Amino acid sequence: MRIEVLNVCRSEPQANDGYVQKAIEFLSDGGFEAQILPDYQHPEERARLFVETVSRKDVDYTWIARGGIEAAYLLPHIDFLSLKVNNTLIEASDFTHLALPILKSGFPVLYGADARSLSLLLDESERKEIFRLLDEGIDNSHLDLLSINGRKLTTEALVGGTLQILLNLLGTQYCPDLRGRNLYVEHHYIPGRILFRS
Amino acid sequence: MNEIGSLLVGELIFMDGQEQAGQDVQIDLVHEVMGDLGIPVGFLKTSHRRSLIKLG
Repeated sequence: MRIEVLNVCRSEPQANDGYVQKAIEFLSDGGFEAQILPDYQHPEERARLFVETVSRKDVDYTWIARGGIEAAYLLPHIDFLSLKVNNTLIEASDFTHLALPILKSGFPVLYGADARSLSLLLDESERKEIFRLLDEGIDNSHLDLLSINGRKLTTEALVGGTLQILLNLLGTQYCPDLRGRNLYVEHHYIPGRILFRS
Repeated sequence: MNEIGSLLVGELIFMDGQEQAGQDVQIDLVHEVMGDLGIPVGFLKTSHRRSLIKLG
């Protein structure tokens, strides 16, 4: 399987890109063909590379290298109406900006760990589990769920992402219709009163 | 919001001011907001940052 690791956000000055490089090594050791793509400075260039990469048919996964707030900068430079997605995007929190319009277009997205997490956060058993999921395909049966009101949960037709970004995109051209879908919210370091209002 | 099928929340730890709310507080809060609407509500027990979730 071929995985292209994409720098959608510019490298932060304090970022340790050694983690991304190490992630490439883990992927190679796991039997994947993986490489990191060029790190452009201007959002228009990064948007062009993003569109090119997700449209490639010779790629199985486009994996975001690392999180960062600059994902939103790409939105004005992408024509989602004509976007062709021919492999699966793996994205993390901040890329809810890009994942929602892709979901709206009918293409699935994998949400969770960025590529850097393979070396920065995950241990060997967790890496093996992710590699297994990538090999076999993900249907969410691996998720361990806790129901808090006793009603049956389903992980089919999930749409969602980071709550702050969801709230920003609701009602815009980028947000899919939530009716009849199951909503997944990453709720990270946000006051409880904000959730209550939402 | 009341037309969604169910709600999953991927983080169990919220920050509120200087206090870090416990899991029970969070569950009560979400239950209060969503429970009366009849919407199934749940949490992921494992961190989404350590795995992958299929959206779509």
